[in-house]
Amino acid sequence: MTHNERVLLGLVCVLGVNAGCATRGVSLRPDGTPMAQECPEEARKAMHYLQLFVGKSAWIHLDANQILAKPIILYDGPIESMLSEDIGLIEAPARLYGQVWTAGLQPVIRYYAVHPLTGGDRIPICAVARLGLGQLRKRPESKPGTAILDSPRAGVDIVDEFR
Amino acid sequence: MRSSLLFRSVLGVVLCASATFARDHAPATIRTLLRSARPDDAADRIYVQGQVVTVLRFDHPVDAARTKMIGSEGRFEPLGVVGNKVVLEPLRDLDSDEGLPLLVTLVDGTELPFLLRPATGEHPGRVDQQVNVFKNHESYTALHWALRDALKEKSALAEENARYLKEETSADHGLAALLASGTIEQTPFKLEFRFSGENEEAHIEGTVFRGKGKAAVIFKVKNLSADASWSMGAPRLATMNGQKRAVAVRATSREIHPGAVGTIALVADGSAFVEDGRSTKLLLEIYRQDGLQQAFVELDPSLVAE
Repeated sequence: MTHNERVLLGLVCVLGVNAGCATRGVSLRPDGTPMAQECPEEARKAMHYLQLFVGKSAWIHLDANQILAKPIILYDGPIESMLSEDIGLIEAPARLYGQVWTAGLQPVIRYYAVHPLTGGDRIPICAVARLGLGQLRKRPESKPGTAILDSPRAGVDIVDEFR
Repeated sequence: MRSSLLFRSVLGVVLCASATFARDHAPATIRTLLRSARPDDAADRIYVQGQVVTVLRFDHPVDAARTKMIGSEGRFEPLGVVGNKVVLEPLRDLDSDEGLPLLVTLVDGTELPFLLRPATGEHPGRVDQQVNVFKNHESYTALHWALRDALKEKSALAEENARYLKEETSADHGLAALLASGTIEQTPFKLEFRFSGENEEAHIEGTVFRGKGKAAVIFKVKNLSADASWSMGAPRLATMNGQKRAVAVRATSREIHPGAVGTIALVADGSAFVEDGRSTKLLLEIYRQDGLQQAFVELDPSLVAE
């Protein structure tokens, strides 16, 4: 490993810590997809108060910067999505903060926090983006580190553990 | 679960085929117009389509010399006047905001103005093929035609009424109404998966649910058209062999205005998934009022597994 690469790796780690507890502790499979991850106790408690039970789901705009665009490009790293329906006690268009992993056949998008637009701070939650019929599959021309998707919309599903 | 869905935008070829289908099978219409002598009545509209002949049939002979269409050069075949009939044939479709005045003069000197309009927009898919125009509304023939129209309308309304009565007591329709109004928590349905897609005129978001021995699909339709309303035709639920199945439908509104969003909920009973004693997949298709297919989704029998 050259000196430069080591510096770069160090920077990535620092950034990772700065981004907050969000992505802490996720290990990757050899193909670059994330492994299972627990939902922190604090998030479970918050979800319980907000009536965000497993099975609750809503439509979202996958990327708040690419609303109604077609196709959209997602990159490895943080993502800001937007609720287009209310979910539990959280009203649309609250923002969802999460992380994208573009390795694999389709991107993995995990949400760690929701930010209601009615004031207050972001609230820790555990949720994932989903779309049926293989509509979240990457387009073949997607370059490494990116995922080009046909649908700018998807569903968000509340989970109690990332699998 | 294996399901598949295709939207028209993906299948351009099928889109055209379907559009042709819709036009070829537009119901042949014979209308009756009773001319009123009141001055505040606007000129009657006649709905025409490119290369489709429209015949106006009067109760008096027509004066060919004083019957004319204004600005029709290059857009209509020359006007045909035979006895008491006027024959029109547009060379091509009129634009949705176009209207051509037609003046028909009867031999007795009565002038009858008409406005020729395209069979789209305000009057989609209803081309006038024959219009019976009666100057004298009290004549036997005029009354006969008016009665015939009234009876036709009555039987259509009676059929609709019988359907409403049946739907009023149907549990599936009740569930569909709850789903359409967004109160999904009040129903036994649980989300299975979502899908989305769009064509030029509409953006559609679909959600498939499993319930207790029933399956449901909600379509959220956003009308992308700038001027035309979107309304749904009869949906079709059938087995892969084409055997039709009953499906309960409820929508938030009859019509979705340009730019607006509407919700359509459909509920199928578990018994629909059985064919010849074996469980089978079903195909649910959504059509627009003019017969153009908008979306279809395959429903797996595992959706109704207890």
